[in-house]
Amino acid sequence: MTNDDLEQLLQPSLKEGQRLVPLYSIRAGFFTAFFGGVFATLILNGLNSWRLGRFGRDVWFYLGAGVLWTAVLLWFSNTLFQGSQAPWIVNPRVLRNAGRVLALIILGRTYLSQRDAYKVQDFVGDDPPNPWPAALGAIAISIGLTGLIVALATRSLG
Amino acid sequence: MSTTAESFDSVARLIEIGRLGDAKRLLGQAIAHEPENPRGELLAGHIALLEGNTAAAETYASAALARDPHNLATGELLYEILAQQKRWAEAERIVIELIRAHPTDADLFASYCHLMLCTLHVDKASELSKEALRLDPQNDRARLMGVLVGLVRGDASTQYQVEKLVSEDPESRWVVTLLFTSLVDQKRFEEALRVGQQLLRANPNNTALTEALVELRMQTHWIAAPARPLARWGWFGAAALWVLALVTIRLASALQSTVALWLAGAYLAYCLYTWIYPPLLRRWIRHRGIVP
Amino acid sequence: MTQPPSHTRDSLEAQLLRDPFDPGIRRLYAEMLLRLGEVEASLEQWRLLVRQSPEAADPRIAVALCLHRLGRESESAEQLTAAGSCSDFDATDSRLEELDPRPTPDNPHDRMESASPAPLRANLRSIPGGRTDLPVADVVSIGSTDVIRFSDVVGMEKLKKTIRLSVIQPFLQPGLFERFKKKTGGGVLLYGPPGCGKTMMARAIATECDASFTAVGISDILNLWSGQSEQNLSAIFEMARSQTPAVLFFDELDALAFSRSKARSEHTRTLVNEFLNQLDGMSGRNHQVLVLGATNMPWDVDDAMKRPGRFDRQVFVPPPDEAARAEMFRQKLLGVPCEALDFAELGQLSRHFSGADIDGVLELAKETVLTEILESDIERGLSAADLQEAIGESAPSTLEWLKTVRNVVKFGGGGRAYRDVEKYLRREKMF
Repeated sequence: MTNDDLEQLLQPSLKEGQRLVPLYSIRAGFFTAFFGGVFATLILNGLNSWRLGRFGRDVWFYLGAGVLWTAVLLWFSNTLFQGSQAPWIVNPRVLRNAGRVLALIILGRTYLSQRDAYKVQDFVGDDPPNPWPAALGAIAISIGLTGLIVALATRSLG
Repeated sequence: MSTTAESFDSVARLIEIGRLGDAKRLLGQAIAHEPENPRGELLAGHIALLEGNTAAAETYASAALARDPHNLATGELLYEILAQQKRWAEAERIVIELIRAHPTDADLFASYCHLMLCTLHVDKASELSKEALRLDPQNDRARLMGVLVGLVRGDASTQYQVEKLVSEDPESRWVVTLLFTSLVDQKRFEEALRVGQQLLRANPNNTALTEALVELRMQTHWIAAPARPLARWGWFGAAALWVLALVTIRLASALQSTVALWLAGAYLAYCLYTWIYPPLLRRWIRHRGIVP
Repeated sequence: MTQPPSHTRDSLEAQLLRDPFDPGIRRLYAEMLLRLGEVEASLEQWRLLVRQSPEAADPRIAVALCLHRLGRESESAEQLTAAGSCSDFDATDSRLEELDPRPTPDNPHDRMESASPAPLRANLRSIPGGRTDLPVADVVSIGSTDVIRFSDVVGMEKLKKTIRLSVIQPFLQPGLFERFKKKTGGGVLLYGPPGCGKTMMARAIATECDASFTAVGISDILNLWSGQSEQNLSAIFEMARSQTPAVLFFDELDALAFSRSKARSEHTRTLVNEFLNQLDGMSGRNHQVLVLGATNMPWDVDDAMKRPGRFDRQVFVPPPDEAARAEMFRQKLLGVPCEALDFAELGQLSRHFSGADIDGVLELAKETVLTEILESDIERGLSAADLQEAIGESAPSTLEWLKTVRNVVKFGGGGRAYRDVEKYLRREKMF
């Protein structure tokens, strides 16, 4: 290791007064994804990224996933409420399950990119925080946001 | 009659073997003879830290540092106190200062590595553990951190490193702890349970370990056998199982509704089982103990 | 302690007349008398202080000093040993230097003491061992001067029977056991919660074995750590080997044989290695030496210590049972003014209390009664209510230990070594 590398290594990484909060567990992430869908999982994973100080790195992925799901919702609403015969796939149950699958994929991808942090937390870190307030909040926002998108899509049709 | 220096040595050894009451008594006598000796405050700080009184420990460490600002042991004590209080930034400042004063001390790099791990800075922790091992490849703490970072990152060579450590020093507590962590990480629950029990026999007051053993026993209990795939593959397994069930039931319902009904019932029963058995089994194991 | 200049003999006497229970004033008075050379009078005052605080080492040392100055050496030695059994005994007390017996060339015991390493010599004190015609072993300051037999140990009948069969008889009649091909030899580790009579049991074993008794307590271990620890330890074993049949007792064994897997310092590891060497007896030289150990923390004792030939017999010394507690109350209250007491009930109420806890209960009850007497000027004895209240106010010190050991037995797969503990926990519905 050169002197410069060592000097680089000895630069502080932590800020005075910075409070470190442990990550929400993968279990909390799973249930949020399953019952809250895409927007809920984006919110909870976004919180974890924020805690890890890597929100800037992950935000594009979250935005992409959010835009994709919004597009799916808009297309779905358009197709369902156009009045013409919709294909079998345009079915609220399919939409719900598709949302779950996408949410679980987002969770899986985020977990893989943050796996080191999760493992560190298992080995030397604190217990994960109580996920209920954040998870319920995320699920409520997700439901509201989905309703809003569907309502907007339906109004534009009418 | 022993000298004060010998008394301080004895206090250090009493602390090492966990006899804090005896250590305090002897330290009181030694400090009465040499109240100006910063070693007395350093040892008092260690005792206070072990008793969980971090505020008193900090007072002692600061007093000792005021008398001898360049003392490495006192600096390390202060770092330990700050880290235990989760005053991470202050702890980092201290450990960086110590490293600058003692740039070839592998222990200090290992301490900094541990701090970075605790604060989830895995990349930096990895660099620090490498530097610690470069400075002293045989240093216990450096090796411990090296293996821990390897486990976190899922390095293929870590398993070999753990086995090497076990073969070199099979009875050392930190090696056994590392082995336990590694076995749990590899989901070798039976072996982890045995190693964990060995650890508990040596440290019966460790409640976190007791809870970990209860969880391990749950994984190895016959009642948990149907849930083994989930234990092995975790939440990915649960997600995959759900998708599989969804597709299978959908296909079956297209072919024959009775089969689909049975499949849905079975899936639901399985979900209920995985939901219900853990708290019941946990309670049972806590009541019954871990019987061979 | 120095006398404050404001205190004169007259003022101290006047204060004692006003408040005869003030130990501070009595102590000052006793010290003053000793300084003035009135040793007999001082002795009287120190004896009163001993009566007031029987658990304190300080007045006992002073009594020993007075007796020594009066030339009553055997009584002085008795008091000194009694002081040694007190928990606050300070081996570095300067008065002990005056009391240290001077070696004479004709006394084999003194020769032995001279041969032992200096830090040990400072602390070794002799008391009569089990058999008077044997060379008297060096005994450190644990236990009292009285010869303790099994019959003096209250309760623990089953334990005594086990020890008699597995420890004492093999030691006394090795031939008989050899004929039956019954394994003998090796040390015995007594473990259990603090204050439950492990040390007393060890002393009783020594007496029943009709052997000299050498005991090493925590203060001696501290001395062992100074200087050449391994040589010091070796000297202790040599001393026991030279006085066979001998019982060598290590109190607080975990301090001397601390688990090497937990130890960080090389010093600890080296000392444990030497201990193991000595236990292995280097070609069987430990014949007729019974090594006993006692510990509250068997999990801190190095595993190698518990292997065959070393401390391979591990005996659980449980808290006294109900009958034993009742008997303890009865015996400890002999000669104390009491109203009619139901000792069986007291035994029942004091569940999980150790012998030391019962002492605490009695002290508390006595304090309550004395306070009341002093306030009301009406003398009365200890009543059942006083004792019940004191029991209610005290918590058994054994519970924490039992909870800890329950973890080992219940979740740690404690195994054979902890089988008796498991039985005890199940019987007490604590498992």
